[in-house]
Amino acid sequence: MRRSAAAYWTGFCVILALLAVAPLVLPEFWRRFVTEILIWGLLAMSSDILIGYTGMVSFGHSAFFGLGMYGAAAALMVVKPANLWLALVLGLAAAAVVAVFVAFFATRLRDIYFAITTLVFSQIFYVVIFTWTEVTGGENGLSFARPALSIPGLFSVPFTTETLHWFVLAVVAVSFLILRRVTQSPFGMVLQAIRENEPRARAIGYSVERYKIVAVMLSGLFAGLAGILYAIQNKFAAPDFVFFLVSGEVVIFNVMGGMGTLVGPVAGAAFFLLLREGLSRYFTEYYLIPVGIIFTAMVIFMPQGLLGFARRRLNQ
Amino acid sequence: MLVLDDVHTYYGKSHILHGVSIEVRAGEVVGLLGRNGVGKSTTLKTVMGLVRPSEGRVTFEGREIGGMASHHVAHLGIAWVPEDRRIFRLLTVMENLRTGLDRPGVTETRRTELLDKIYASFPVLAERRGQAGGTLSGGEQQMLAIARAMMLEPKIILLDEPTEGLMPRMVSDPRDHRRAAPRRGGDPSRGAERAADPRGLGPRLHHGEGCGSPPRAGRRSPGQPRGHSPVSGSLSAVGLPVEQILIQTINGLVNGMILALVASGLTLIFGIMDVVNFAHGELVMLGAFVGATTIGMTGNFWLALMVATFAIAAFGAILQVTTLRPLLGRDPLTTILATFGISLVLQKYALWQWGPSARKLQEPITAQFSLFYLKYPWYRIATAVLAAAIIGALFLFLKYGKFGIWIRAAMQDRVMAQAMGIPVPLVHTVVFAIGAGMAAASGVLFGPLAGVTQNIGADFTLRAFIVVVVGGMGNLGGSILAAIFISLLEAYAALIVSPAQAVIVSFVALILTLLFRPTGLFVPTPK
Repeated sequence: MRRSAAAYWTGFCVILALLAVAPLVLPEFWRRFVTEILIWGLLAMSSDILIGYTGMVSFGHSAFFGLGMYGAAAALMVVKPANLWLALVLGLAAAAVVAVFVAFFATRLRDIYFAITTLVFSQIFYVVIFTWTEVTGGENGLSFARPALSIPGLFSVPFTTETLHWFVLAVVAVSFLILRRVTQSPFGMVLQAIRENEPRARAIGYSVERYKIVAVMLSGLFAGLAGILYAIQNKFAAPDFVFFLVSGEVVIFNVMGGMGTLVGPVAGAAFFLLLREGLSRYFTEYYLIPVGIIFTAMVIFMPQGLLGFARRRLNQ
Repeated sequence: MLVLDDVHTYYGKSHILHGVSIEVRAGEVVGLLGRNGVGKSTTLKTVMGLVRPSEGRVTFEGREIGGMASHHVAHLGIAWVPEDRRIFRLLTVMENLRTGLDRPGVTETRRTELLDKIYASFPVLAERRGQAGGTLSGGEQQMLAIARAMMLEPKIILLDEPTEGLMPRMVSDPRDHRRAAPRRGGDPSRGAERAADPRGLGPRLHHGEGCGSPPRAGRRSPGQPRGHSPVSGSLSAVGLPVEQILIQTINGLVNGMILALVASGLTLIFGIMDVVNFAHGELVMLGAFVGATTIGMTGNFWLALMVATFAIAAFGAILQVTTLRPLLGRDPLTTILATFGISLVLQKYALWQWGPSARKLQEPITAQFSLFYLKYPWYRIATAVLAAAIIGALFLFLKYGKFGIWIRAAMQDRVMAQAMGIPVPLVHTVVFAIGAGMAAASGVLFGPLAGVTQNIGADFTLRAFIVVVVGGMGNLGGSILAAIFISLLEAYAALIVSPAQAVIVSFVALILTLLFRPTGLFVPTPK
């Protein structure tokens, strides 16, 4: 047990080190690509709290992600000079508001009904953002300047590709540690109990609804965080990121990587994005045809995802 | 005749049967006795092909049947009367019996003979032949279960606790019939049974009748939209002219009928195989494109409608066999994921095949009539009528067709339906094909109303989902009413806000429904 924990942390440090060195050795395009994988990985990880740990498939993570994005956009556009921390705070606040809303209504429902309700909620936000052109820029979205990396009173330097990568890496790594701690805490155990057998968890005396609400809130906040990072990296916010296809992609990350593992969804995001990158060279915009076929095949033949598949192979 | 040789069966990891060996010869009555959980029912289920034995052989008349699909087992002449009877509750007594009669090789005279014989043995069933199985009393249901098994003309009948839960004095009647069975060439082997006074008390069975039958389905909900617009003075006082409201009512009804066509396929598919088909809208989209191509080649709209419907139905059947059949019995959520993958593929395929520009199908009827200040196209009215006709045909098919009864039986109890010899895998494929064909038909009908792009699929999927949930999952009538209801809501909302925002109204309707009537708005009695 001790040894495996040591191995785990060694592995964690090695991967962290590799990711930290990545921008120094990779060409420009791939630097941005690795940063993007980290951001989508964080989003996938946040939804794993619901899908993998609590057994609630959310088809509405685009709402949290998108609102984080638009919250950050608001902070960056309204306040001059643009402030990184204000963007974080406002983005998280926006995502939290949506999360409260979704958590309150959707957690009363289970299974497919939860999935459909979250999907419908994200579509409501999509329609509002898409049609409220004066405030959100409608179809064209918003573009803004990237804030400087600053600690008030200490220093302020503009982001470079490297520092942005390290900043994102730091945020994602810390988020991972927090989420890992949460899933191993008594709270996380209750979530897994709900996944395994909801009536029994209720019968033991846990207020299942309250736990679900907290889980949705938590998941929504981290998804919002991913949205903020994405806004900072790409300097724009667009309604496309609130559309439910993004939520679908997040579910794909989870299924491909392996649900209920936190690391799996990140691996799934990396796999998906690499697949998209590789295939779009041959299939251009039709890359989703092979990706969709691979995904469907994985749902049928590899329900444990890449990580579960690899683990079983290793154990053999 | 029936031989089990060292059969081992597992449920997951728990080992249930540890080397069971039984031999039943023709004309013999064999009883299995034992305490709870010893595996009596599992033995019968193993014979029936409902549980696959992991070791050992099951042979019937020298033929290996271990692990054979249960509808094949039933066709070999093995009938199963399960412990909890498993009557198809929403099917009438007659339809319950028909599940066993509608098999190949039964002539009309043979059917009448079989029915007459069973009605002679169980006169109560003859009296109640038009009544839903679920409204029968326990004893009557047991009779029906045995009668239903007899319809298969079985060579052997497996009775699982035939007297369980019955009043002791009722026990005798089914027993009499069972004892009579071997004389007719049957060969009942039975599960454990309680010792009870075997003397006949047949007429007493009528005592059970009066017990309250549950309320029957089909009551109308007060929330159901009426066909005509609720025009009121107050609304026009808000500043909306009555004509606009009327026009929107007609628009809402037309759109509602097209949506109903899509949603009824979706709900049928969900009802029978627990598949939430995320790719349903994509089938609408494909249908519209196939229709557009056919019109381009032949110029005939009606031909295009037929071609698209049958082409997409065939495509749906292939899709079901390749991707959904392997998922049967898994969590419905996996079917969402798989069909989501399919929807991505289909959408991009359409983009690749037909390009990004919107296509408008040429309408077959260009005549218009004047509706207030508008020229209203007759085609829209024709669309609604045609959609209604298709749905009506579906209803008749489900109500009276042999296949319709199979579909309804499989919807209520997949396992029992298969044990009655209904080829359930085939039924699933056919239902998916019907759903796909209906989706394609609505795509073609929708084509002339608006441009068709590869993006309309997602929109249809979402709307159909909303409709199906609001109407109650798997509830066909509810879905149709909900489709009209939602479309009318959106049409009226479009009077006040932009059509893009009007969608929110239906979202809100969905959320309210889920919160307050989670079983659906048009379900008579929410549990």
